[in-house]
Amino acid sequence: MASVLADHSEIRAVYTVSGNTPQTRGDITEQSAQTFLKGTPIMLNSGNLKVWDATVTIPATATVGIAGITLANGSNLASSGLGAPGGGGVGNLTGVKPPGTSLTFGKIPFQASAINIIPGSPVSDGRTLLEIANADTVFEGQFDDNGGVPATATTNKNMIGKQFGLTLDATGHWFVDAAKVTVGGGQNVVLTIVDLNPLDGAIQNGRVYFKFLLGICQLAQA
Amino acid sequence: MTMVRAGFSQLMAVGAHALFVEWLDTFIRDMEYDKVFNMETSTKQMETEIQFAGLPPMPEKTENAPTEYRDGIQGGAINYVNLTYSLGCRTSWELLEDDQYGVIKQVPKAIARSAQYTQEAVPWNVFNLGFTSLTTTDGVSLFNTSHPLLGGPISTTMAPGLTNVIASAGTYPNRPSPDVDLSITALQLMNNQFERMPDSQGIPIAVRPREILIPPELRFIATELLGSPGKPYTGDNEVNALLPLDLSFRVIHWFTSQSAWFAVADKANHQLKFFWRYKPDNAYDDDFDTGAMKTKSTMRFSAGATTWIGTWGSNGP
Repeated sequence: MASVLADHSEIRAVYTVSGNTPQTRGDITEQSAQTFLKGTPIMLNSGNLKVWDATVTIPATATVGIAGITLANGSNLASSGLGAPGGGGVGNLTGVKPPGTSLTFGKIPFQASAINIIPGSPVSDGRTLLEIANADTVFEGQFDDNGGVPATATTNKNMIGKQFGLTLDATGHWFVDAAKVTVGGGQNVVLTIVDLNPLDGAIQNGRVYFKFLLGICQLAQA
Repeated sequence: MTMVRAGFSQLMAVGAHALFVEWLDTFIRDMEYDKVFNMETSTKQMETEIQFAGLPPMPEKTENAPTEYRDGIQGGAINYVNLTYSLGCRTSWELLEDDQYGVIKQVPKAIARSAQYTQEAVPWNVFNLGFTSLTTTDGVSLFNTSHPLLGGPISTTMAPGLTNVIASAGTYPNRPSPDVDLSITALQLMNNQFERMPDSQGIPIAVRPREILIPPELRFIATELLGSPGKPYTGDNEVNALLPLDLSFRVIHWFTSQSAWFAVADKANHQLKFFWRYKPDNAYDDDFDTGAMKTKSTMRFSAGATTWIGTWGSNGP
């Protein structure tokens, strides 16, 4: 275990097979109390997005699987979808409801529900922008071995086409895990490596390009 | 989606006496929201607005006593988050070419109409949701029977004549409890709550209702209440005491309730705001391979209420 890095590069989309812009969604509400980091695999759960629970079930369902990779940090909302547009009115067109942020400080005298907004704090609109896990988008993640063997955390060309799983590190980022290679019963693989990062090449803890297995993709089922 | 000839076969043949094209032959009403909301522009992702309270009433300083020092109060904040709205339409090149009536070329006007709907819906939903989820810097709904004041209970002690106006010490209403239908007594109640309106330290402020905002269903009763020379609905020949208030009414066609009604002060005395980040802009392009014509319109804006002061609402009974 000692060889596993404490932190890893965030997962990000690097290109698409089609050449189009990676497919994104920004309309799905975020589940309450989410503190995930940008570049985290997230999943649909009862219509809300939350950090992936690492459960691998093929095929994915509305409550199991991976929806995509988040493009923003979790907003730690007090309730699911807090502030999201919609929820009544003419045409459900409400705009983002106040206060429009989730980062606050201090207290307001005699106004328990009022807030101080930290200047420069990111907007929170109750939703999470994500890049969809599908057959088209190629993501990049850092390779490591949760089994603790430094040698197997070294990337090489032979990995291309092989399937691996994802594991959460101590910092909150996810890495492509050399120790997760089980297919079938007890499956823990969720992706296929399609290439090595050309700048890294074959090095220890190099970055690899991968596509999610279509069966794990909640928003892009075959 | 692409509009193709199969869906508009009637446009392929001449001979129709007339075409009734809704987006060309009917008209949508003039904009209503810009008559009420303060119109501003934004150059950012969002605009942050913060409330501050001043100082309490000046106390007596007895002989040789030191002057008392007090602080202003920083209140809460809200963000106006500018959202993007966009709608497009794609028509096949063949449909555009074969349309014998030139209707398809007028599709951009339909998009403009759609944009106008959204421009109205978002700000008016500030009112429609003002009894529930639309909050202001004090953290409670825009129309509330107990807006907490930054000065706390002492503020309503300082403000004169609030005994029968407020629901609890340190709060002020801009909504009746219970909600009331539009009537003479309801208008008087609304006017009284305006005229007694204090700032956060209990100092009465010069704010008065300028117009009431009503759904179409209340147009007739509003005309009777505000237009009758005598007191409406009585035979006692009393004058209509509402006339000196110089209140006018504005019918808003975007209210979802048929009985909720509202009152607002002059624009300078309320903080209902609409921020233009990017006004509607049309763009056109054709697809090289198919020849399909694409038209879209995009805009960005936000709307909301910074404070409740200068506003009032009753959600009907």
